[in-house]
Amino acid sequence: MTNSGRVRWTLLCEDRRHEQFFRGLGIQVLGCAPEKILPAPKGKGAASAWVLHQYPDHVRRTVRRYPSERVALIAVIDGDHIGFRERARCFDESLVSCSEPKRNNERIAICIPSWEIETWVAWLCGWRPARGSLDESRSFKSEVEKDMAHGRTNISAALAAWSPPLPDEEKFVPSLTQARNEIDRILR
Amino acid sequence: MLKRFYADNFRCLVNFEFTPAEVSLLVGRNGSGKTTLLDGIRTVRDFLLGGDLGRFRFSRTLWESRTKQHFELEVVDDAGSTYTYVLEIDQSETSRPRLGKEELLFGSSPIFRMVDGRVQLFNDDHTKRGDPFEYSTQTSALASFVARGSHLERFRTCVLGIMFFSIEPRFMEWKSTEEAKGLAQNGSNLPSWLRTISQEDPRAFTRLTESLSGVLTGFDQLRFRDLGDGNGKLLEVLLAGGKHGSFTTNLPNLSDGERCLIALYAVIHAHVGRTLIFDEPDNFVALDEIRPWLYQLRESADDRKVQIVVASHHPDIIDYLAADDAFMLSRPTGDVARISRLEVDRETGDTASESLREHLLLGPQP
Repeated sequence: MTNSGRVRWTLLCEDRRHEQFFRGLGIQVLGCAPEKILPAPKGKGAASAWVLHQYPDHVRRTVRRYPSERVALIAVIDGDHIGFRERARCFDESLVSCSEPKRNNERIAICIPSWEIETWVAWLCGWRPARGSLDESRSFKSEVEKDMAHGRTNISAALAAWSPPLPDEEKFVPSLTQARNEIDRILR
Repeated sequence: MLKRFYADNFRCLVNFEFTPAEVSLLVGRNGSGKTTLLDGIRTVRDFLLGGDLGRFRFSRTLWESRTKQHFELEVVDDAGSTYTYVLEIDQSETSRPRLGKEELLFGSSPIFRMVDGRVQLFNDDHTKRGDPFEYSTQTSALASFVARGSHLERFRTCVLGIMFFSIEPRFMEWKSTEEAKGLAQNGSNLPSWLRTISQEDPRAFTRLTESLSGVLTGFDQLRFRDLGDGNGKLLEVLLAGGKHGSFTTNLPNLSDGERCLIALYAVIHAHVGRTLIFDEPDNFVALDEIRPWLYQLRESADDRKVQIVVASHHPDIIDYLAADDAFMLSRPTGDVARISRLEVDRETGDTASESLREHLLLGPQP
């Protein structure tokens, strides 16, 4: 049984920080908490590889299983040194390798914070490095984490600043702009 | 916060050590020692808070000839200080248990010691306070000598904050005859405890009803009705929006799962304890009902710095909590329990429950 306007969604992500950010974002933007959250387990190997392995299965089990319903999937991995465009291709390839190629206009949002979610949190909270600009050319994780430890930069504040986007966002943090487009597709 | 538990010669726990993380998942087959581990922690906790030694009766490891049992419970207070409680019990098959040693260390220095029935008290600066004196070897001496504001009291507060829950909805009372300060491990006194919360922490009570509105079909609110003549208060559940309009029911008319959910959500919202230990919280509760509870519980670990330990066989709980620290219990040779950290090979893409399927006999994924 479904509630007409509500999006039922699953979150597939690398870790608790992803979970915290996207769970809050989903409640804010989609109007409800995820039905299921699947973070990568602790263990050996890359968490991003685990998410990419899980992705086709969840596409099949959620979005494609209920095509006429508002069922969505948000999948999250960090862009790291690879970058969000290349990572997005990895998602598409993982579908092709399972004979489930990408289809247009599915309620799937691929979100790839680059380098990491900390860059987005910092950007949204207005944190900027002492030298240079905050962008996706390198990792700011350790610097941002120090600021997060002092409570000045945090996920709640970042979510509160989610909308509207800052004017230069696409120039400095294009992965964030791309994620907004992905999430918009779920809402359509 | 519980930092470490050590048990030797307690049921299937022989030279056994558990060092929980901030969020810990315990997995293992039936009979692997999960409940024994939690029982061990609870038995030591209850004893040092004033229980008697009878609860250790017949708890020696069956195949061990040693008569001495040894336990250590290490906790950390909010200021980061570590307390280590050491308990030694002597019992043969025919004699009743006898307290051999009870000691509390602050850091590495003693602040309380009882050996063979002789108690030595210490000041907070670790100097001896008075001469040793005789004390019973059947009850916790430490429980009797807690001075206000002392290290002993701070330790006791830490230990009081370790709470156990294994909800058994069929044992739940339907009315409250008196207020209760805490929820019994099996949830039996839920009405009495909720009555206390409704009076002492109305905001928590409101948060609870808000949460329940989202998970129980038609749920509107909880309220108490005085039964008169000193017969206590009936816990009523108001349901609304159904085919028959609004109506009132009570706990016995709810399903086992619904009663369980009220207790589980109450534990989150009442902010009880700093360490919450759940033994199979998914019993009686459907999959889509346990998930939101689990996510809220995990969130409270972050928001309020609550330590959480969950023992479960449920694939969904395993897969969600395996992102934290998961511990696998087993009895490879059929006798002593062993504990190891679960390390999933993420490159295979297996979930934690999939990687454990053979070990846990979970059966094929639907």
